Amino acid sequence: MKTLRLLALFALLIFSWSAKTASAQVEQIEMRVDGLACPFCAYGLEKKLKEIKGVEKVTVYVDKGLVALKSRKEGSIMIDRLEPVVKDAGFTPGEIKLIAVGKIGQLQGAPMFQVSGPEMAFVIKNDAQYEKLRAELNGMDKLVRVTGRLAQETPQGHHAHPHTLTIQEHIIK
Amino acid sequence: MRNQLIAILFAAMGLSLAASDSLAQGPPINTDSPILLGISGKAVRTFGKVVRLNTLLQDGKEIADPMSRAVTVWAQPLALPYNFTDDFQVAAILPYVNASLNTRGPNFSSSGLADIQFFAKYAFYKRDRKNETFRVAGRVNVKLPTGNEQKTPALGTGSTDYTFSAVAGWIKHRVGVYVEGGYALNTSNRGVNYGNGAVYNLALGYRLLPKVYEKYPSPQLNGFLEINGATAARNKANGVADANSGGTSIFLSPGLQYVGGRLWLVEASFQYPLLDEPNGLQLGTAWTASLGLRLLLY
Repeated sequence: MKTLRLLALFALLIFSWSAKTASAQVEQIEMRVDGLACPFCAYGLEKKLKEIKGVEKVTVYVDKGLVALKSRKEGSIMIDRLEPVVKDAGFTPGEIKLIAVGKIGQLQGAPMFQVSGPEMAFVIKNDAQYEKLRAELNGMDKLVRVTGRLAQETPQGHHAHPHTLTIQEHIIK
Repeated sequence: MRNQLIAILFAAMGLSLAASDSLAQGPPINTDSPILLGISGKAVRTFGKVVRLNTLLQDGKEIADPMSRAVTVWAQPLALPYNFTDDFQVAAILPYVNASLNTRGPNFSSSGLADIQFFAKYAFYKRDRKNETFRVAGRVNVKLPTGNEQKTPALGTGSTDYTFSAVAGWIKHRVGVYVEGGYALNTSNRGVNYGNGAVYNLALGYRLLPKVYEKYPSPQLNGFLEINGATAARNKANGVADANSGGTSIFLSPGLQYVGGRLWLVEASFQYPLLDEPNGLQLGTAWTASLGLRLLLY
């Protein structure tokens, strides 16, 4: 019963966030791809990444071992699809860096960065950079553009989250 | 004369089938690859290979040939791969062969579809790092007796043969190293039990251009230096070994490969025998030359 109530609260939070953050989106993603040593192998990777919803442009940087994805003007890149797609293409996914616009909130005591839709909520790593942003926002409900990296981490008192966002830079819009 | 002819023709066919095998490989040119991605896996390939045998050898030593025999085989296989996943591939190889035997006396020639092959390859190990990959694959190859064995020269052995092989490949930045080893399990036809064999290949690849590969796709020129070897046991007829069959050949194979974009590459290779020791009296290989094209299918 308690779980049901929590789920309902979570859904309500997501809905209200989504309604308020229509212009929020993941604008760009840079993902490390290991095994990208043979350029003639990259065709399938590029093709499959282009098929991800929200992706407008894919650039494969072979020497850097990176792929860069730019999102369409409307809609976000479905980040949850990245790792399975890279694995399906025969490579090993690595760290994800992103530039995204969204809002800061909290869920069950954990700081969250909400972009759009339930799959676009990231747990924020509660560090000095986040505290600085929170202080600058001072409770204001404003859009924020953040640059950060995503990784699987386990915030204190919570389960492991595949997309924990470590904010590196931010601009309050 | 008839026995010698068959020995020569089988030697030539063996080499042409080796050419078909090499066709089913990703880069490098004459050695298999464990990487089943992009042009290295999903491309339809054709690979023209010309094999010239014109030196008569007795236990590996050149002797005068009063008949001045020379065999030229042109094999043009077409390989059609299908990837179920990015680590499991099946393929069919349809080889067209034109073979001629010229002597001071009569000349012979034949052409047509040779022995069709099918193979399945599975990449069972992968370790990826930044700009580096190490993969290992296993492969089972089946050769069916579809080539006309009654023609002179014969276009097939008339036997169903199997090859079990493993290949490991390591690529880091501009360098690639591939090692392949396999066992050929051959069956019989018309009372002749073809000798089993081994194949062993080593390939070193180097990206000559560009020095730094920034964005995909960019034109790319690769150089390869390979060592390609095969050893076969003697054939047996009614339990008696044919002295003029089987042996060992090891080739040094330099090659160049140009990747023009997302969808195609061309490649050329020349093979010079480092060691050519067929058993008994057989023709030795003077050289082989190949020119190939791969087009990405899907």
